[in-house]
Amino acid sequence: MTVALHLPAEPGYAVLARTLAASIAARCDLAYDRVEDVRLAIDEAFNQVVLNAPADAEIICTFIEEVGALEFMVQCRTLLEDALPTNTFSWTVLSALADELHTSNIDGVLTVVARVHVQDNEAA
Amino acid sequence: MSTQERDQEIAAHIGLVHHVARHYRSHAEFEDLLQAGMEGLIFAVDHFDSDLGNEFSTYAVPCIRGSIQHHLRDRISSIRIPGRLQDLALKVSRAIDELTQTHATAPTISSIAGHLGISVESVLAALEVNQTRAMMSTDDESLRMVESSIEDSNLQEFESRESVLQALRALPKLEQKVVLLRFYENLTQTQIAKELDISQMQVSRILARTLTTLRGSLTSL
Repeated sequence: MTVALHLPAEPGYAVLARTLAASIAARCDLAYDRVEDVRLAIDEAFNQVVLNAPADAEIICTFIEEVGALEFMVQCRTLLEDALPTNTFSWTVLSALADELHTSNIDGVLTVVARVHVQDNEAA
Repeated sequence: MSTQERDQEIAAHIGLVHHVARHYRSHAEFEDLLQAGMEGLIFAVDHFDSDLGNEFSTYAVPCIRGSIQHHLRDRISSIRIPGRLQDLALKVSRAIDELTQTHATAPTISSIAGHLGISVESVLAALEVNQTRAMMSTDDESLRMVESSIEDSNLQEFESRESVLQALRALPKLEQKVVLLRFYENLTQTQIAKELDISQMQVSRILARTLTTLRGSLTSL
């Protein structure tokens, strides 16, 4: 299942991305504290991407439910020349919240992908 | 005690209310603090037992302080979220701690919902309220402390290791511990709650608040 959310690239809209992310994580029956981690991770990624977005940009949050994992992708046009720097506190935070993390900048579109593993026994 | 004696007793100790209320001056209107403090004083007058051998003020001051603190808590939380959601957040918080104790692992959202007999959406709403409330309260002292210490540092770089350390150091002790345990020691929220003997919802709230605070200070460089 894939769900995409298009929002103005402004910090105030992070709440909508957070809420949707938490709903989807709950559907996968992740434990409570991991749902909260997902919510924090989306918030952090959203805010970092928005920070470097040109005026009037649109941000796209894509949530993909796969077997054994949940993927969250945040994408937006960017003023950065490269991908998000990975030697920052923010990246440390994201790394602790997600099981896999990746960032890229392709033709001026900044992407952050975070994956969370879903174990079969998670629902127990 | 006659009504007249009671009134005299109250009037004689109004100074105590002023004394206690002054400590909370920066938190609310002084008039409101006095009013809340008066309720505490009246309670103290009605419940004081001189046979126990204590001074009246020894008994009254904690009553006044408690009443003022109660007022501040009510005021702060009622501004931010409706009572229904507040109750819900409290119930969810208790359920999480209970279920974690029983099963020795963090519960899923659906098991919390099942335990309380409410919908998954309601549980999510309660959790959202918990974190949102934390994010909205960032113009507090800790943020000002982080900001001023960052300003003082005069850093030109995008973000240096030192600026992060400084921002972290400026946080209150509990916040510092939670951040270090979660992001550097990689403990789960559940493990941190156990380690620090606080509720899991508190851990989640602290993380949300602290990240917002740090983001504000680190990006304003």
